[in-house]
Order: sequence, then C-alpha cells, then structure tokens
Amino acid sequence: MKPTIRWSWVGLAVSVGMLGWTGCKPGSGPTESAAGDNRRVAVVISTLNNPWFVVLAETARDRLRALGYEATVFDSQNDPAKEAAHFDNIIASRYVAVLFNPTDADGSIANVRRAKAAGIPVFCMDREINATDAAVCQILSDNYSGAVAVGRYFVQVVGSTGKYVELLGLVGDNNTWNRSKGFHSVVDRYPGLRMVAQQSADFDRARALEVMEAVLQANPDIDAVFCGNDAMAMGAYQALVAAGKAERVKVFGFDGAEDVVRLIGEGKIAATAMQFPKVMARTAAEFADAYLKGKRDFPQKVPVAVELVTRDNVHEYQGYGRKE
Amino acid sequence: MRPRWWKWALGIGAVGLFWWVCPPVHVVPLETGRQRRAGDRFDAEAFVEEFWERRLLPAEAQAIRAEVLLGLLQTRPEEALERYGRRLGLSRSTCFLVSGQGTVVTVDEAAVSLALEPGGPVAVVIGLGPVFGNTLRDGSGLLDVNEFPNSQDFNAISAALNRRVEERVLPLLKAGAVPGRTVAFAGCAEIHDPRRELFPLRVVPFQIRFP
Repeated sequence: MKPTIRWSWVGLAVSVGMLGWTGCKPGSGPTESAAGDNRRVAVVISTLNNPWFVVLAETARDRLRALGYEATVFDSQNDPAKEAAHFDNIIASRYVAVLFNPTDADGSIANVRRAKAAGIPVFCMDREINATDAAVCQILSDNYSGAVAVGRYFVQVVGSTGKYVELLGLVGDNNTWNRSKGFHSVVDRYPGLRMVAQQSADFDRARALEVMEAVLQANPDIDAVFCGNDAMAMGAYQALVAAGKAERVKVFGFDGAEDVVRLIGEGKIAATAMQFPKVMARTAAEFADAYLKGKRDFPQKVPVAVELVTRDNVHEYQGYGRKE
Repeated sequence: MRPRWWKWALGIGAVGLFWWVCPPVHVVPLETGRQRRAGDRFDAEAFVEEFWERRLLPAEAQAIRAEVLLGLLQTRPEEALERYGRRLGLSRSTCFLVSGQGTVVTVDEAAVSLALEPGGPVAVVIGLGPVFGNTLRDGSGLLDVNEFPNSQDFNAISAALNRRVEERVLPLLKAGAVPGRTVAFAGCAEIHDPRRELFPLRVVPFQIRFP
C-alpha cells in the first residue's frame, strides 16, 4: 500500500505544479486570451422571468454567435448576489467580454469594476449603472422621454380629472424612476388627477396581480393604472378582468411586449411605450465585437428612442419593435 | 426573594433609549429613499440657473433661421437633418436650435401662431404651456448625456428648463402677443418625421422679444 500512497502524493504535487505554472505563465491574463482563441462572451441578464428580457438575451446571444463568438446567457433572477456570483464565474473563466443588463444602478457598479480590473470589457444594455468610468458603453432606452409621451396620452385619454394607481418596478433601478418621473412630469400638472396608490411590483406580472388585487380592495373606483413595464400591465389587467373592471379602468404599460401590443390592437389596453430590445442587444454585441477588434472610442451612453404605441398606430408595431 | 422587576424595567429602558438614539431601522417612503441615494446629489435648478445665462442665451447667435430651416427641410430634408439637426443616441426624432421673427396670426389659451412673412401662412407655433419633454435640452446641442453618470440628473435638467420657460418666457409672450404684432423668438423645435409633420414648426422658446 505504501508505494501507492507515495505515487498519489507525487501525482498531486505534479498536478498542483502544472496548475501553478499555467496560472503564472506570463501573458496568460484575460487581455491576451481575448486576442487568442478564446471567444467566449457572457450575456448577464437581470431576469429571464420576463419575456422582454428573454428577447434581449436571445437577440444578444444570436448576434454574438453570428459574429463568431461562443455566447453564454446568465440569469441573475433580479438578485444582486446571484449577479455577483456570475461575475466571479465570468472572471475566473476568463470570458473576453460581458453584455450586461444590471439588477441595480448602484449595486452593480462593483461587478463592472471587477470585470474591468480583470481586463474584461462590459457593455450595459437597457439598464444603467451610475458610473461613467466602469463600463465601455451603456446602450439605454430613453425612458424619460417615453414616459413623458405616455403621460401626455394618459391625460388625453383619461382627462384632467380622475383617480389612478401607479405600479413601480424595482426601486433600485434607474429605469423605474426615469419612467415614473417622466410620467409625473406631465400628470402632476393636472391637480384633478389624483394618485390613490403607488406601489412597487418589481417589474413582475404575478406580483403586479397581487398588488393590484389589494389596491382594488381599498380603491374600487379608480379610472386608470400606469405600470412601469408591460409585465406589470398584464398583471394589473388580469386583476381588473377578475374584478370585472377591465372595461372601465384604462391600463398603460411600458416596454412593447407582444401580448400588450396585441391587447392594444383589441382595445383592451390603452397604450405602451415601445422599447427596442433587439436594437439594444444587437448594438451591444456589435460594439463588443468592435472593441475586441481594437476599437476604443465608444460613447459612454447611447440612448435609444422609445415610441408611444396606441390603438391609432399599433398597426405599425409588433412585439418588441416595429413591423419589418 | 426580592422582586427584580426594577432590573427588567431598567434593562428595557436602557435598550429603548439606545434604540431611540441609534434606531436600528428607518422607514421612509420609496421616493424619499431613492432621492437620498441618487437625486439629491444633483441640483438641477442651480445647474439650469447658470446654464441658462451663460450658455443657452448666448447660443441664440448659433441658431438657424426658421425660414431657412423650413425651406431646406422641404427641399433637401437629409441635408437639413445632417447640418442643423441634433439627435440623442439612436433616435428617429431630431431637434433644432432655431430663431426667427414673425407676425402673430392667432392667439388662444394654448398657443400663439406666427407667419414668417407678411400675409404668409402660419409657419411657427409657440405653445403657451405646460412644456414637456427634452426639446430644449437636446435641441440646444450644449449638453452631453455622457457627462452625467446618472440619467435621472440629465432628465431633471429638462424638467428644470421647462419650468423656467413656463415661468420666465411664456408669460412675456402671453402678455404681449396680439394678432398683427411682430415677435422675435429663439428656441428649439423637435421633428419626428419631416415627411409627415413639418408645418407648422412647434418651437419651445428660451427668448422672446417684441421689436
């Protein structure tokens, strides 16, 4: 038995030595890997529990593959801890770039900085981080302008008097507040429009259904609901249908999700703001490709226009974009 | 056994006092909490105060004349968009910095309409408020989104600029605009699609004069 044990120790020592040699080899860092055969790019998405983000993730993945990269999608499940763990994995595995949809505008900065320190460029999609020196570029929807447009249409449809509810998204996300502030920059100018409840439903359809059911118990006479995304608009609409109020209460969403665009066409939802996840994802993938080929002069922020979709112009749109 | 209730009372009192001095949790409204984290660091009103006087008003000298812009948009729209338009990121709409002088054609509660040549058609409309959106911020071409780490700050500038237009510029127009009177203006206009919605040009003014 003794010789066997001895050989095991020798084998272990050789393995550790090989590992150390590989790890310490000069020039084996991520930057050189990017220039070599390693073509793995990570797509880190805040949640895949929302069809809009699935479109964002799949478009980014498909565009990367078309450009010749090996793309892996990571789902953070709206959990900053999971997101941090993904970045640990990405850095340890030496991915060459990250297309990133953050969970938190402040909390996600550290992850981007860690990747940057490891030589891995990060390109933010749709959601912003509150730093301009961490990501290579941030491709973001112009949420404020979109919400201003929704607010103006809201006043046009609901009128200058009435009661309404606002469902907010994730409170740590800038998109939540840019949409809310854009909407209120218009609606608050009409004192007759009274917000009877403002609650977060975390951009989640099931949560919005629960919140809306509770809100309707206390406020059965509302005239409208403004939701910070279309998943919540669908949840709110479902609650209104269950309460028999869907005909009377007007629902406004934000995103341009497929089911909401269809319901606008059927006159069941009043409006949404069309974001363009495919444009953002493709642009991020192409920017990453250009970066890895040597380009460095990227604008820090690239706002992407958001367009109002109502029953009047819904024929020009489909889920997640314009009809092609 | 002597009762020890006073020890318990003293202990509970001490803990209560400690929590009162150093509360373990603070309950604040969502919006207030958010503002403490991000919004309060940037004073949009103070920023606009300086921006308005030192950068925006002098920018009138760089504005394209409204009649020149409208003429070019009709004949060579691509050139007009390229030479004089400003687009924020990947956007279909374009903003312009414009100035001009015209004759008041109509005045109502919502807007003042102007003809740019005597007896001509209405070519410019100036709304009398409220003012919404980013037309003035983006049309001026003086502010770069990349200089603002938090887009909420960049958007707060729009709100502050719009308030200033409503408070300082539009009252002048409301007070002085009567049909037939000449008005000089400088401001910004936004066009989504020059093929569909060119006339009249809707201007958000930062300068109004009655020559």
